Amino acid sequence: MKLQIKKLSKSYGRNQVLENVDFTFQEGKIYGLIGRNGSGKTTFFNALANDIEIDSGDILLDGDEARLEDIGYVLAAPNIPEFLTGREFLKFFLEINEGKLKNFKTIDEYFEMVGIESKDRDKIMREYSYGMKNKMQMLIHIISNPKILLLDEPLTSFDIVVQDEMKKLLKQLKKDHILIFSTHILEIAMDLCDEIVIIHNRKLELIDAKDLNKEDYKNKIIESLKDHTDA
Amino acid sequence: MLNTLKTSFKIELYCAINSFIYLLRHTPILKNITTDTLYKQENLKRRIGYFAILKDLFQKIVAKLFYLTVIYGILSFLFPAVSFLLFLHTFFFFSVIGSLINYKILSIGKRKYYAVILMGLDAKEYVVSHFLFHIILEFFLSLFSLSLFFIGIWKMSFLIAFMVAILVIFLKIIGEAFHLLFYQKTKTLLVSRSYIYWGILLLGFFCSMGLPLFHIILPKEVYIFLAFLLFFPAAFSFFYIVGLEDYKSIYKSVHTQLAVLNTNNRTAYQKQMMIDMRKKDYQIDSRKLVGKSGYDYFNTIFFLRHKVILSSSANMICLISFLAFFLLILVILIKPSYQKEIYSFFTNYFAWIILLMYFLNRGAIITQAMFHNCDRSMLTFPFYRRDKVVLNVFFQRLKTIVKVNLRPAFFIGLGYVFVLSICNGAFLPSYIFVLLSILSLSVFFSVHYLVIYYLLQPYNVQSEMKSVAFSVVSFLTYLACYLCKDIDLPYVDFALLILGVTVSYILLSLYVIYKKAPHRFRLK
Repeated sequence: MKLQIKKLSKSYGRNQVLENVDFTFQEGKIYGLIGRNGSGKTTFFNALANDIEIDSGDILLDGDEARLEDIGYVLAAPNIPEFLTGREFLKFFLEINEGKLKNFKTIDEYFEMVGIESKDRDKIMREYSYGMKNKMQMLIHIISNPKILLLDEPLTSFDIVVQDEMKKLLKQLKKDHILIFSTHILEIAMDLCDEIVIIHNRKLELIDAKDLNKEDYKNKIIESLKDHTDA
Repeated sequence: MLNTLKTSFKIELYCAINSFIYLLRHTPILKNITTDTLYKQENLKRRIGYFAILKDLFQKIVAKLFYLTVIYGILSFLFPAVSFLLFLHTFFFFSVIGSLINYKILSIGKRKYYAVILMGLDAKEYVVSHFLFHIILEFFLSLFSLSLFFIGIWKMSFLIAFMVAILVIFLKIIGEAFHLLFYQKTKTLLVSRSYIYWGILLLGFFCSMGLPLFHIILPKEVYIFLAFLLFFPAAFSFFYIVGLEDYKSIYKSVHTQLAVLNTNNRTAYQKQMMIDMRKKDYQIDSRKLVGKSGYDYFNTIFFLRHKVILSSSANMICLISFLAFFLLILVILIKPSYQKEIYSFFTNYFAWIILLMYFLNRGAIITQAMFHNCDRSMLTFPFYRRDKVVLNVFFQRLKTIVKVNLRPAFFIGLGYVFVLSICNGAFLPSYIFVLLSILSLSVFFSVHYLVIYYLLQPYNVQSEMKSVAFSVVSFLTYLACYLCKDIDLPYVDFALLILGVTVSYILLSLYVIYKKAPHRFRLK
């Protein structure tokens, strides 16, 4: 499975954010998307998730236009229906997706997957902590099992134990998926991702790690971002 | 202190000017002929600043004159002649209401937040200088507008206008101190307690307009006496305000209470409170969910946890209409001589029921609550945007909203039929069509608001209404309802017309929803 971005362009008025972006993402990999503030990461994700209209270009999954359900988008700030309890949310979600989901588990097994404790499962989600809300958001996307998962700064709100659990979960997930992971924290990206892609000067660029040790690779990424900006 | 006042005005002015330039830069056509360099042009900004100050002053004068004109207008409508003492009586009680429900010192806007909390201006100097400035300005504005009215209409002397303006200022100072004192003692804002707020309003309105209806008007000696009497509490209040030290921490805590940064002003905050869940609705009766699954389950939970916006308010309308009709029927029974007038009023003004049902429908608040508390988050999940899910949730919501809104409509319809029957001395079969019209209107508005919500989805992620199309449709709806008040048809024809329009509208809108909603119901 591969996700091909062909000549993707998007501008807001006179501000061209993405210009003829060409890139191919491969199955089984986690891509770390890095860019400076305002470089267009969110626009790129919104374009992939069909949340904004693009000016031109194609987003193809194995040659066909990517469908809404092919792409899951985990937002940086968790956005979940806070009027429901965790259990009610999962129940509703599982019921209306009956027949569509693979490896069907019980609601409690799903809670176990992301470590939501029994005492919290029947609480209204408004009373969840930021991290728990994030877990619920992530869980729905994991159960939905979209082929491509876009993750916007997904780990920064978790404590270090949950961060570690989530990293393991994402590494398990990548097998049949394409995971694109945006972050400002280079260490997380280097630790978790198979490839680092920078978004700069309205384009995507793969930073090759070939023959480089960790420190040199890190410097190369920073330099690439600087070179493009300061040129 | 003068420097603090100057600096804070500068901050306010620059905020206003930059907001104005921002607006220019985001207005179609204008954004193409302007550039961001406007923000750097100090000379231009200074000129805009002078203009803004003059505009502000002009607005304040117009507002004062408008306020006095409205009081005069209402009194002219209610009484055969508006004497000076009647006007003064109403104006005085309005000023008392104003001083108790409006407050300057404790009000927190973004600009005050920037000046005191973010930029660290001396809070006490800020409060005192602004307070003095506000009081002085208010005095001159009141003096100017009252003089125009008093001399122009009743040929009173300038001295009387001067004295009344002083009285107004005394009330304002006492009011501000009272708000502060209340906050210091209770750590809540006086007006945040709705029973106090509504108590003041009701009592104030009764004293200002109700007492004169019973021929009770304060004599002029009272004002002279009050002007002297209030001097002492006003002076005490003034020194209390000037003497308080800890304004910064007061602002910080008021600011937290009002969550002003996210909501911009109190009205928006209150609006958000109106669409929010009540804590006591967190726990729901599980028996109400037995046998429910999928969309029905989801929808039922939403409305159970948001009782306050739908069923509670529908129940309240039922109760109020029941009481209103009960009182009316009581009046008819006690004073049979009124029967004829009431009957002709209910018959001649029946078409106004369209406007009444329009105002009673809470569609706008309900859809805002749906968006803010549910769809804003759910629409971020692809599964919720699938055609089937959008349509299923829409139909579940439609069923609930129609059902709940029918309840008050039924009460109003039944009350209307009762009044007509009692006044007429007999029940006529055509009265059934009165009830039918009211029920149809209720269904119409329930469908209408939900349909335009799904087709135009007017809110941005902050739940602010940003759609011009939605505003236009809302205005046209109001306009259509307003124009319909002149329809003059027998009950049967009227009911058939309303029913016909409702059924056609439902069929048409459901078709459009089926075709368009799945693509249009998106986050903006």
